[in-house]
Amino acid sequence: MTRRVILLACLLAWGAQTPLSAYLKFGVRVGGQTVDVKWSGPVPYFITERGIPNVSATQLRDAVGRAFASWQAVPDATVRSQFQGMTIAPPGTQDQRTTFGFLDRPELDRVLAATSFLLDSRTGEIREADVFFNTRFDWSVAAAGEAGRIDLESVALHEIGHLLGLGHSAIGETELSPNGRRVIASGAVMFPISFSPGVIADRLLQPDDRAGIRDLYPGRQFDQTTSSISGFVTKGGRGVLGAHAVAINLRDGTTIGGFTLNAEGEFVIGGVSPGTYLVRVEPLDDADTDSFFSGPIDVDFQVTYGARIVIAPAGGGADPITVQVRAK
Amino acid sequence: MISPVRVRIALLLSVVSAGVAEAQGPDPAFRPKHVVASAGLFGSSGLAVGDVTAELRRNGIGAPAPFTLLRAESEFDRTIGADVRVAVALTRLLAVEVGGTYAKPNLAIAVSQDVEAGAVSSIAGTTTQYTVDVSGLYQVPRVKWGSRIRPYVIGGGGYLRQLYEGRLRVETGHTIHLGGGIRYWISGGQRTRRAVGARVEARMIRRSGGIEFDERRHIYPAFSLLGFVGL
Repeated sequence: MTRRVILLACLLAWGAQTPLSAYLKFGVRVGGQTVDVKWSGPVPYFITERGIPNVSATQLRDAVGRAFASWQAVPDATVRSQFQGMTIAPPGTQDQRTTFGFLDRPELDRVLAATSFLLDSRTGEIREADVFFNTRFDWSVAAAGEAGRIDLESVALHEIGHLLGLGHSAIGETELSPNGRRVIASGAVMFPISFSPGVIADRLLQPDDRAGIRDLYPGRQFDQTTSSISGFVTKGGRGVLGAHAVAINLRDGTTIGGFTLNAEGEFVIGGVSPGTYLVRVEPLDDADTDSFFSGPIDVDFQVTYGARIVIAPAGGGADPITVQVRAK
Repeated sequence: MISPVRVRIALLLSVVSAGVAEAQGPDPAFRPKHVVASAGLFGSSGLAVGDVTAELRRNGIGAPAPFTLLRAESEFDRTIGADVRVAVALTRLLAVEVGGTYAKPNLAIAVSQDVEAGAVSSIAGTTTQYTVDVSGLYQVPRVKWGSRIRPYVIGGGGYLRQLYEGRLRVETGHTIHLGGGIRYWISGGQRTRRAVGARVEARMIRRSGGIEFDERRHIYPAFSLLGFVGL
């Protein structure tokens, strides 16, 4: 059996970079096609039996358990997990065990936590995934948060999103600060930059997160109860790669995003609630695009709205919309 | 037993009597148990059907005010459509009327407060709208404007069906309306003559359901200009 390790060091960055919106899924090439990276059954996981000042191993276990419960509670999704027990093995050990734990990574001064995978390259199925929380930072599991400390449950929720196969969302706004970029606001737990110490708002999933996990782990009613929005982003008659397309629900204002992922500028946003939407297209122009794409993308265009509203019917897809953007 | 002579006299008196009554100009009104068909145009005002603010979760301890990503205000533009009705007169003053309208109102979305997009952006969509309603129509007996014009009041309720362009989504709802108008008889209006005329009507419509992006009941004015003919 051929296997390979994919290490994602892009996890919840601290003062890193990136604005914008939308969820991405991890994918691997299998037999000439890109398939989703995901689990085929319940996620069995262990907790490393190592505490740090202010957070015990038991408290880490509880925080991870609550974070898993949040993902499992998403309607029309089928995420499942099974706590297997405590282990002395640190995360990152290739031992056929998915492990969460604290790890000393002082050299990663802007990485709060990270997730690594061991995949079956024939199927894209996840065999093992480890999540470490960097002891370089001060952590908290206080119910109301603690000033000066990063909320462990919030970061665990983000990391489990990666562990399940979700990439970063770009729904958010940032500003430059002496330490890099500081997040002003975000519309997804999967946004790549963490909220400030003491903030616990990211213990709750947002619509963009829920759409992503529904798309990746659809429930029985998924095909009947959800919809999808698709289309193309073009500039001068040619497709735009890496454009960020955001669907805004006209009834409740929820925002769910996606990216154009090929040379034709095609995007698909799955797992959205049926309804009426606006489509807003924006460039990833003030961020490190490495958080989203491994190659160059087009960021030279203006924010543009689709010329018509988009109807997302239950149990089907909306008529594709083409958004024509212009260079800045 | 009535003799043939007396019968002839009685008939003659009846004819004279009827002729005198018409010469005096009785109020134009419905012919009981007869049908009146009307057709024409209706127009409705613009109608706001919801506004929404897309917000992001702001970075901050406690419950900081959300960050506004954009604001979208949705409104149907003023529209004109076809209006067809059929009434059955119950009495000379009261009728029950079934009506239907067809229109293609334009739905406009104005986007503002988008710090990255700058000025207001407008997005448009075309919809198709059908209504079917039932009304009671009562001619006000004590108000008389000349010999050919009479006012009436109207009230009722109906069913609303709206389709987005592409017919991908159908929204249904209900309406309640109350209003009034005037009928002008070009000819007829008495018991024995076929009526032809025109009517102008204003109604306030309260709508629930249909294409809307909020939970409110929307009230808006509508106007109709119709020709009618008694059948």
